[in-house]
Amino acid sequence: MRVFFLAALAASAATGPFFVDEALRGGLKDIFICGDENQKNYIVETLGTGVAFLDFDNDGLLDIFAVTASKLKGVAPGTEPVNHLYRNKGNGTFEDVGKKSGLAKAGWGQGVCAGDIDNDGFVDLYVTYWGKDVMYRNRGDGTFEEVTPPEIGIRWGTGCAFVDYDRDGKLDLMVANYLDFDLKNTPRPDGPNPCHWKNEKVMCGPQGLKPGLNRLWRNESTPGKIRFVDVSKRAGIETPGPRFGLSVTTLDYDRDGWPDIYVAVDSQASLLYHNKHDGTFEEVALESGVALSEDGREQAGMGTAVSDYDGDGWPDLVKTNFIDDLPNLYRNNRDGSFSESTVQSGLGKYTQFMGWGVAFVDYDNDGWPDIFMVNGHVYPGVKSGEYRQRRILYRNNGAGKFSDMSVEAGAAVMEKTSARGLAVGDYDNDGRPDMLISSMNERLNLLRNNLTAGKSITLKLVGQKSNRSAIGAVARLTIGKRTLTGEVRSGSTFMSQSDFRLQFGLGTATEAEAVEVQWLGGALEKLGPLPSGQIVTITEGRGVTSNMPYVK
Amino acid sequence: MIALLLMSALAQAPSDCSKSFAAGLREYERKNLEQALIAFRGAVQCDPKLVQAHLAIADIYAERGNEGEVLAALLQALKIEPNNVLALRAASTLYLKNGLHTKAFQLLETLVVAAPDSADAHADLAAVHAASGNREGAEKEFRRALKLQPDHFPALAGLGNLLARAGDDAVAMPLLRKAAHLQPQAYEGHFLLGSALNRLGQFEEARSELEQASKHGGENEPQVFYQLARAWGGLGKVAERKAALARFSELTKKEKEDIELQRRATTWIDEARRLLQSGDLEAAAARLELAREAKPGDATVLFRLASLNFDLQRFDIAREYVQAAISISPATWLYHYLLGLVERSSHRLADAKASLEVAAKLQPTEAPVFNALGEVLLEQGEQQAAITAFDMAVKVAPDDATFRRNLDSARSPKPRR
Repeated sequence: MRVFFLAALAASAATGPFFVDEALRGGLKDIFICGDENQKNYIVETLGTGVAFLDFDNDGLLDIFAVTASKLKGVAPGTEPVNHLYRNKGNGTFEDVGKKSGLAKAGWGQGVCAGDIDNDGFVDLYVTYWGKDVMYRNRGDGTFEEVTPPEIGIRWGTGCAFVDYDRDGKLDLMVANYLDFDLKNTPRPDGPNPCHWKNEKVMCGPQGLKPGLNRLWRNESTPGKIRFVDVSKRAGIETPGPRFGLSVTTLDYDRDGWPDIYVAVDSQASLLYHNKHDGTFEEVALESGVALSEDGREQAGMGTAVSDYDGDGWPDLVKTNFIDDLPNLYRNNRDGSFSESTVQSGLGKYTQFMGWGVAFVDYDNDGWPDIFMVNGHVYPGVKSGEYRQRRILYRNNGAGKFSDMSVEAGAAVMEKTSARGLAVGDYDNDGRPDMLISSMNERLNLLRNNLTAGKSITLKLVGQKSNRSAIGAVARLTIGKRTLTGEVRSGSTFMSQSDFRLQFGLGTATEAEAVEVQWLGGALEKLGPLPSGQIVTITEGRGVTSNMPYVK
Repeated sequence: MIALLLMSALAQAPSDCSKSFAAGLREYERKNLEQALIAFRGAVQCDPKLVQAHLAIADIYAERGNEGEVLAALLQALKIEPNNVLALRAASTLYLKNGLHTKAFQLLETLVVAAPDSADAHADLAAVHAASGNREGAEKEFRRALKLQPDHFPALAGLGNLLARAGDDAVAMPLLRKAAHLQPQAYEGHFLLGSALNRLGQFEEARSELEQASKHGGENEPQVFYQLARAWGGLGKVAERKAALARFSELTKKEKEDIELQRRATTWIDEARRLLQSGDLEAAAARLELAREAKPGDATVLFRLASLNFDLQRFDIAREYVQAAISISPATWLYHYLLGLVERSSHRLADAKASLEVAAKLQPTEAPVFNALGEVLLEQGEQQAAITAFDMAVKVAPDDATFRRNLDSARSPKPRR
């Protein structure tokens, strides 16, 4: 039987606006471009761009990296939009260090994922492009160098995630590729043979266009030399054939200790690559129940997130989809399969939203992962459907039901943009998860969480034998009769990167009675009680190596 | 789908232009659909506002499965009588079937005003609301349909499904159970009930309903097997679940292949058009041949192939294609006209004459048809009949010098040596 004492806590506290957009106050004023603002002639102008929360300079504060695309015409040479890196100054404001860091690159940027590829303690980046993706190594001095594998080729990269799939201690890389896209041979809405949506002329795709192929890159770096090798074919990643791949998320869905990979696919069946422990994968999405809608229909999968929303210790999945459809909430059956529980859980309320970035985030720190989704249409100006749409904050009541708390959350959540990217992280280190949103041709939104509700504890895991970012490590906290579970992951949501640190809402509890970390390298580390209200660093094999109280 | 249309036509045939219309009805009663169509076309030519003839044409094309022609005829009827209930219902059903919800919506909005007591109309309108995400509108219309007809199967199933998807199981389940009970031989009721039971975790009953669905017409519906797999999975039956998923995959694969083939056919037709414009007739014919294989029942593709082969002077092949087009769409004058030209080029003058006469009857405003008929008649030595045909051509297109010259020439033939 479930104990609902934690759930009861936040229900009363969650009143009044508790998310406030601090982007402008923080100096985040740049506009992020993806094609023409009012007219989308090609699908490449519709995906938007991703964002990342990461601590690139290891000062304990989350910085922001935001990707930009460009415009197909009307951009004068020398004025091309560039990606931005904003350093967190610790006082609620940010400074743009993109140029200084070497990350202020122009191009048709799409997504971002992070991970320490050389295990030097500094987080590195991979940025996907419609064009040639770029891998950046963090030099540790505030600057980055390009270390892109020469074989990377010209593609349309979208979501990505670093994952140590072979558990050799080095982070490998999974990249989804959307389309093999050619502007010249794609009809425009104002040209011959236009495509239609609800009787209105719109840009074409993805259906009818050539899908891309997902890639898996194995990290074969040696000290001083970064080297990634394309193992997609031999690892079985290519086996399902080309797909309109969008977001990538990693999870150990069968709890066998080996990371599996889920790819949300647009207009086709989504993919679940099961890790066979021998360097290969088997695609099992249909058998596992996460390929299609509960009716067996292909959906336009956009963003994904993973968490144990029902508290049974097994990772569940959420996926956002196109308009006139529902998102999917796939509950893990603990036998290698999932059951869709979208309607039963209360996520079947809206079909007018087109979902993109999605995250499980325990915004009220009651110990139950809530869900945040950002939305926006792909066709500006169509009569049937709003281009700019509000966000949705669903609160998990702990009994398998979610309720829409968007209005209560405040204007920042109700604000309408055509949003795409979403990252979660506690940028002000106050123990409350904040959110970063990117939207089409708009500035970023930085939603600061002001809710005073449950207590929390944040774990920063540092791998030693395992990869340094601890991607794939699972932490389990005991709170009374409950066990809270979190996994460190790269990528996820929609083409975005959230904080690596694991934040656990504890409700009224003042401590986690026991903490267990299952490192990807195989070690299981058990720790004694850890008090709430702090950020605790746990280093593989060495236990707690530092702690820092939350900022009041 | 629209069997009532012809009954209506039978009941309301007007007195003017009644000859052709009556002839059509006689042919229809004799199951001679091709002749009936030609007669009804004649009636429409005589009186374009003869709604009953348009409805009759729609009905016959519906029997032949030619939805494009059905819709064209229904829209003609609606042009004349925008509130014609039969035409509104049939056209909206066709739009719905093809996923054209906006167009269906416009007609159904008119229909529910024209026939406010029609449960069918309200249920159809509800279905459109549901498909476009307007749950409130859908629920309202389904409820209206049920008020008019408490045992209305589509409304029971539709409302039950709508509410089940919204998580309102307490109201949804009795509706779905009633629907399945009302029409036990229809797969939809069992399928929707089974799906809802799956959602509720009542897998044993779900399995039973879904097996009923597969027995009663759902054996080729992939979704039935997807739900069945869910039920087996819920019951822990791994092998059965796997088998159901395999069947699901097999059926969806076929569905996808068909869609892809249709998409490719459209591309081939576009390519053929471009090749034709650049003068590469052989390559255009090859693309159209591919399109024909993909869309064997598409009369337009067959006609294009026939035209191309006629231009390439491959008359036997042209004949084969245009005859196939006629068998799909027998009341299209252009096909008969082309067949007449093909037969004439093959020196089969009697056949040419017959085809051109049908074309002229179907489309008495096309001067080239009369001109071609005149030429054939002249070649057959039927001078007087040829003069009449040329005369018709000149009447229809008085400014055409060729037709006038042919007429003059027929009236004063050169002496034979």
